[in-house]
Amino acid sequence: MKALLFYNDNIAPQLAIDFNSKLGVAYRFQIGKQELLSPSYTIDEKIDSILINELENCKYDCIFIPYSLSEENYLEFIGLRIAHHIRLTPEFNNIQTPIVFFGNESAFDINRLSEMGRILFSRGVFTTEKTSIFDFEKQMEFFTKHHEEIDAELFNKRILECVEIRPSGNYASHHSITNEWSIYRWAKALKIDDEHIRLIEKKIGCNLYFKYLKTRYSLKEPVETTAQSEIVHEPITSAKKEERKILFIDDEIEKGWNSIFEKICHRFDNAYDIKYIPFKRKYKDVPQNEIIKTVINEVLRVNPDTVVLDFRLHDIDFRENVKVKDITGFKILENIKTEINPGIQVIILSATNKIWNLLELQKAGADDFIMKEAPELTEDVNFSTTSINNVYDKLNDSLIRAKFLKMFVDDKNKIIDLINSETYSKDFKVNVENNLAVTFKLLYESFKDEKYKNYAYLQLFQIIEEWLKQDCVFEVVDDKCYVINGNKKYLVKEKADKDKYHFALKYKPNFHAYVKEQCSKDCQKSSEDTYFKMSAVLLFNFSFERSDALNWNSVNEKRNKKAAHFDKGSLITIKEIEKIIQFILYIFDSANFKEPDPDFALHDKTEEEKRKELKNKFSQNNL
Amino acid sequence: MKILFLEDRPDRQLNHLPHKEDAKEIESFPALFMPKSDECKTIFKQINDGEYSFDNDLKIIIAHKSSLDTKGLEHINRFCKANMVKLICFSGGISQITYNNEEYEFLNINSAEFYTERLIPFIKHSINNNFETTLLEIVYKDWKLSYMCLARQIIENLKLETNDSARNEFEVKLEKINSILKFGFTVNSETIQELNKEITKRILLV
Repeated sequence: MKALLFYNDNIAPQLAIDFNSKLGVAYRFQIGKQELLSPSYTIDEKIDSILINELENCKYDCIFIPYSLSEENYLEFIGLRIAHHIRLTPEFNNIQTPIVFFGNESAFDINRLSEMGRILFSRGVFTTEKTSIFDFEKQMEFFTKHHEEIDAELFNKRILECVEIRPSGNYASHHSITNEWSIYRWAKALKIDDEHIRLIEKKIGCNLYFKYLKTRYSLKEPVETTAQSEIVHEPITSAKKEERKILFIDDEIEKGWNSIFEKICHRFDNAYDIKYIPFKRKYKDVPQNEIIKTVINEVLRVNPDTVVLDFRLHDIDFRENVKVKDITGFKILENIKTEINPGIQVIILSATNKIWNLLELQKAGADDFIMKEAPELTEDVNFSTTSINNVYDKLNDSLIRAKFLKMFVDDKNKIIDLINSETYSKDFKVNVENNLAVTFKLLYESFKDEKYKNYAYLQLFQIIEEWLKQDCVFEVVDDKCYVINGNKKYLVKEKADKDKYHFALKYKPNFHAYVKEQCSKDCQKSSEDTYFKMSAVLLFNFSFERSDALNWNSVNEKRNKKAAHFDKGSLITIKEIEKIIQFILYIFDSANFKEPDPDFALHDKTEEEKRKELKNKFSQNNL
Repeated sequence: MKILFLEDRPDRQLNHLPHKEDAKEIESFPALFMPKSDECKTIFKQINDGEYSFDNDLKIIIAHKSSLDTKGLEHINRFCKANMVKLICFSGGISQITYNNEEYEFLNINSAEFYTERLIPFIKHSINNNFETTLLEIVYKDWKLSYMCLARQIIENLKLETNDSARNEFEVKLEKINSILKFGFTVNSETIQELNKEITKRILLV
């Protein structure tokens, strides 16, 4: 028979003396001012360390605790907190030990005064107003006869019916909890052990709220990632691996996230020359605008492929009714997507799983989400490993997308600059911009469904078609077609007679070349299509000797035979997209215009020639 | 200056205070000095370096605990101890209110529990009552209940105690509580019934 008594200096010392001699161990609980003044002091660490010493190696028959153990503020009810630690810490080996609270208040009084008072109504907890050693002895006798332990799981269930621990403080703490919990679980799964992780581990181990969560969700230690559970890229055999940059932005980067993401990024070592760039800056006490500005400058400096961006970086973000659009992460995301390069992949790291937040972020261009592991998600021991593998997959997907989309956006901007520097019609400029914007979306979608590359190709080809309709490129007047080269016009086709046409270029197998010929009506139709027009432009605007320059034949063929037929399994490739973009960039650049020999073109007849011709016709008719 | 209020995270303050205008009201008390961000950081640095000279008129120091290191807290402690200045340390990481009145009044409190609708009345009350107030006013609507329960605990344990020196210590504690409660009756073993009634009444009102 052995009991434990907690007491303080407001409890009669005689009671402690008698307890020590008759019933077991009396432990004097006190917190000195020096202790309270320590920057690292927490009540849970204090209680945890006491209970490890007093309970871990000793199974008691009963534990006596006064409701209050503070000498100067009765309402602190530290006794209740101690009882919670005993009930929620299996390592203390006294989970089911009967606990007797003593004091002059009733259980109902205590319950009114403290949320923790609910424990008084749980299994194995008793209350008494009688605080003499005689009464304690009687209590002990009762427990010896009647106390029986029950199945551990059932006992936990009974406890949880009465006990609920809320996280300390405020809204921000909920995020802090998920944050610290994720760091703890993921670091364990990744086998990371450093100073920051150890600090978190200590906190998680002692904190009453985490103990409560562990009991509530029956949380076990996460399964460590093994070689089998890790997804490893096939090694790339080329001598030089492509560089990829991942920029990591989190206000709690130094609290463990850095080690975690660094380790995850190492998994890409076989695939890429990966540059993991943690943005280590002070966020606390920095105005929101300043944070946004500094982060944006860093994005501009690094030009990353992927940004892993913490959603909440500023105190303001933790306000209960803050609008999503006012949250720092949202503003940074918006800036990257609209001002820098929408091809840069932004993955939002967040403790939130509020669907309305995610939808708003998605609308603003968020490419993916990494959810921090909230304790309630951790029931499955494999959850952390699965989450880490998901993070890896998301990063990998983002790197694949980024390479192409970033490049596309650069090219898109070049195309827009080129058309804006020329005297095209306003409609055309707007048309091209819209076309390119749609193309970006289609290309983005193509990473989920490849057929969207075909749509994107058609969209790009449409830009070429629209360009050829511009009077400053190709002009059709009456029965004549001209290629416009700056302020010069080259006649490339004209009606010679009723059924006859003159051409300045001739189609040879696979290309057009400078050959003047007369052709029958049969060839008129094909001479009005995009292929003919573009061929004429390539010859008379850029002075190519053959119209298959710049892969035009291939560009045109892909449109007709592949892009328009994805239903037949013909899928456009990224390389083919790149080729058509390069083609557009070339033809839109007036610096590439070259004047061909004017003799290659047909000549508009002079007035004298026209008169002669009429005369001839007239005389022939008369004959 | 009677109250030095060191909060280096004004946004957090705004987040927690129940009303938008509360921060301005706090700043408006002539007896209270709440330095702005940069100045506040400088003061924290000087405190942590052990070089800050506190105003001799100070009665209460309120400080964000996370911005203080061991040296800084010791620097404040020395000053509070020597001048009987009350100290409130608040931080988001504090999970349990801890009050201590050994040598000087000290309160360790979570930021969310500190920035409540009780804060401004506490400041006003302290200023109007020449700082003859208890820091528990910030924590509880009925802070007297804490002292009354404490008194009852001591009275009950007096009954169990036979050692004179221990009994004497209990008597001193009771005297101190009586001086704080300032009831119409002296709280002791003879008035325990009255005290019980008062406690029951007050618990029902909580």
